[in-house]
Formats: sequence, C-alpha cells, structure tokens
Amino acid sequence: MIKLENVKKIYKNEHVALRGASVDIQKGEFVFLVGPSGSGKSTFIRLLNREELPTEGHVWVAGKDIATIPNWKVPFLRRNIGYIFQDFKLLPNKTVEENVAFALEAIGRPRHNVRTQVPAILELVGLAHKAKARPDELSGGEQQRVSIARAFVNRPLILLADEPTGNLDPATTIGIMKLLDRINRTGTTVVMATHDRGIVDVMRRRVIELEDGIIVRDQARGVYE
Amino acid sequence: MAMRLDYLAKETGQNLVRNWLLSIATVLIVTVSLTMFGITVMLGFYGLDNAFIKWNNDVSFIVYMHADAPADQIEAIRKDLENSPQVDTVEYYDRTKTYELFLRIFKQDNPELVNTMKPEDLPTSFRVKPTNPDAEVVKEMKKSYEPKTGVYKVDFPDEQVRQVQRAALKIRLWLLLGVFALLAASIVLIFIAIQTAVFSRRREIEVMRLVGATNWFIRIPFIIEGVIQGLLGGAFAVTFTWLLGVAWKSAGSSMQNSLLSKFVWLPEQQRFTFIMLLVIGSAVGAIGSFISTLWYLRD
Repeated sequence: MIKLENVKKIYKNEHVALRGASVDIQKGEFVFLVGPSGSGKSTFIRLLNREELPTEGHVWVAGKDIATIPNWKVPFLRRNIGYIFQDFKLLPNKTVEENVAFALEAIGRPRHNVRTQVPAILELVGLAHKAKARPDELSGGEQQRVSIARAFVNRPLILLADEPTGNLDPATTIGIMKLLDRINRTGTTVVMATHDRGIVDVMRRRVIELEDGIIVRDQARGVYE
Repeated sequence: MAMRLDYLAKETGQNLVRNWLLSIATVLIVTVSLTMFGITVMLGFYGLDNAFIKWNNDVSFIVYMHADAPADQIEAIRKDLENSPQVDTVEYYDRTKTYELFLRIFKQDNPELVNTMKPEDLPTSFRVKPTNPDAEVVKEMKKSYEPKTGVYKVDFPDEQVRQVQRAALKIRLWLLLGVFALLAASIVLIFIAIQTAVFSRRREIEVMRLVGATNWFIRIPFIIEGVIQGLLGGAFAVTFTWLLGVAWKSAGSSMQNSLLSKFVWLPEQQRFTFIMLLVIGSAVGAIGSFISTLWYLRD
C-alpha cells in the first residue's frame, strides 16, 4: 500500500528532513510514527499525500510512484487518502454536516450520495445528534471526530493523521483512538504521527521511530520507546 | 469531473456575499473603466469618424478658368471632370453665379470693391467634390488639372486637410492607448479583488485540495464571481454610457453647425458598443480571476 525506498528529503533552506528512509506498509496496517519534534514525521506524512516530493529515492502510494504522477492527477491520488490534522481545520462558518459534506462536494459527488453518506459517517463517529451544530459549539474531541468523519466519508484506502490527539485530554484521546482503531478494522491503512507515549504503549501496533530524519526503529507491536 | 450547479451557485454566492464590500468596489471600478471606454468608443471613434466623414463631404477643390477662356476650353475641362472616376460631383459656376457669390461675400464688408467689379471681370470655375477626400489623392488631382489649357489655377486647402487627418489619427491613437490602460487597470483590480476573496477562503481551499478537489473545481466559482462582477460593471457602464449619449445628443442639437454637433453615432454603432461593453466586462472578470487563482493554485 505504501512503500518508501531510500527517500531523502532536503528542503530549499538546506534542512535535511529525511535521510535514506526505506519502509513498506501493507494494506490494513496501523502504524505509529514516533520521534522528537523535527525528526521528520510530518515530512513523512506530507510525502505520502504528495504535498512534498522526495529529493532522492521513491515513494509509492496505492501502487503509484508519486514523483511520476502529473500535477493534474494529484487530486485523484488524494481521494484515496484521508487526512486528519492536529488543529482539526474545520470550516467555522459551516455546520458539522456541511463540513463533512464539503469533502464529498469538493470531489463532485452527486447530491444523493452526499445525503446518504454524511448521516452514516456522523453516526459512525457518534455525532449524529450534533449535525446542525457549528464547530465553535463543539468540544475539542467532538471537533476531531468531525475531522475524522470528513477524512473518512470518502472511504479512503489510507488515513494519515498528524498528531490528531495533540490538542486533546487523555480521556478524549482514548475515544479518538478507539474510533481510528475501528476505522482501521474496516481495512483502511492508518499512519499516525504522535508524541503520545500512552496510546502507543497501550495499542501495541507497528511503530516506526524517526530520529534526525533516519528510521532508527521499525517494530511490529512496538512501544513508544 | 461533474460540478453540481447548486454547489456552484452556493459557492459563488457565498464568495460575493462574504466579500460584499470588495465586490461592490470591484463592480464600481469596472463600471467607471467601462463607462470611460464606452464614451471613448462612441465619441472618440464613432463620433470622430462620423464628424470626419461629414467634414470630408465638404472637402472640394476649385478649378478656376482664365477670365478669357473660350467656351470650348471650358467645355473640355467640364467633360474631363465629369468623366473622371475620381470625381464625385462637379458644379459649374458661370459668371452670373460667381458674381452672386461675390456679392454675398463682399457686399457688406467691401462695397467699394463691389462697385468696381462686373460679372465679366470674374473668372468662371468648377467646384469639384472628389470621390476620395484624402489630401494626397486630391493633391495629385490638383496637379493634373493645373497645366490644362484654359485653367488659371486650382485651389485646394491640402495643408488644412492634412492637418485635420493627422490630428484625427493622433487623437485615435491616444484614445486607443487610454482605453487599453483602463482595461488593464480593470483586470488588475479584479485580480486584486479575487485574490482577496481567495485569501479569505484559503482554509477552505486548503481543505478542498487535501480531500482531492481539482484546481479547476476550486477555480470555477472564483472565475464565475469575476465574470458576474465584470458583467454587472458592464451593465452599469451600458446604462451610464447610454445616459451620457442622450445628454450629449440633446446638447448637440442646441449647438447646430458647431464641430461638436457632428460627433454623432448610429443606433447600430451604439448597440455594438453596448454589446462590446458587456462582453469586455465579462472577459475582464474572467481573465482577472483566472490569473488570480492561477497565482494561488500553482502547484
């Protein structure tokens, strides 16, 4: 599903974010990316979404080398990838259901599709009763659930999460992780960057540890450290 | 990719409403630019053209015959002129007619001169209106008639005609430059307005890009927004140009025979100008917003 081969990423300011990273992630895996700030976790995720291109090496996502995908085809790659942010990135002037529907409307899905899928996904994340609420009326955990609903409403093959629990308290974090686990069980590959030792240690999934752009550990059913 | 019309209408409407002040400012600027453009076209192009045509219609040259030129020489010149394809009309001023004209001009101002002159002292002449009033062409005609037997001289205000033609050409060039400058300013202003709209929606655009919306899908509502602003500006410009045209015509009718009264345009020219204003308004809006989104959505 995801493959990195000797990937090196050097930014324009000469900062080296990844140094020869190689990794293979299978369909349906749940992978934690751990490591200190600036170790290359976010660059790793941004490469998978083709927000960045590797300076050297190859990145394959859903069987495609992202460097060979023409710009106009990138949106079609991204439809296979859901993205969850630490700061949720919800649209404040839209209701919960409008925020979720927006992800389908933006890729031109027909209205009847939007009408059936949005309530279903809100039911899945436990926010059906808050469909008409605006983001500022929701708690942090609820906002992240909306963000997950928006990322998953299109049933992507891959779900990328960049520190999705970074702004949440421990109790809410457990709820979000249960939701991500549930999504993972549907066959969706989940790659999550995190600093949260507790959830990594409790869930015991594959852990890829990055340090100064180098993969220093790749452990099945690993712990944070 | 299919784009739902309701989605398109909703997004475009939201853009216009959310940036309503900027939308109004843009429409006003396009209105002003296009109104000036419309007036320039109507007065500077059609008006000037029509005035020039009318003025050209009055252009003629005069072939004066020697006072003692015999009838056969006068007849030869008349035939020559009447058969020339370069001549539109010829009017012969015999001694009686010339004397009438002479009296009309000098009777009041110079009665002494009138008393000393008799019809037989005055030369006969031909008033010739050329088919092509261009100064160079008429000058050539003048040269060809001057050496003919019986011809005393040929009068043609060639320098005056050339000056007017040169001035008309210059005016048109400057007007054209002014019009292009105005249109360029409109494009830049729409560009800024749409840039601001895009900037105010940067978060939505970021989300749209991440969920897999194509650049065209993101761009089209902004382009439609620009087209609506341009079209509205064009429609207001049509109204103002029409009103100013009506005012001009009513002012022109009160100053008959003045040069300005000749600056008129035909109804079909007015219709064409109005259509042009609407088309240019829409095009300016589309181009401005396209450049703006191209700038923001570059990969």
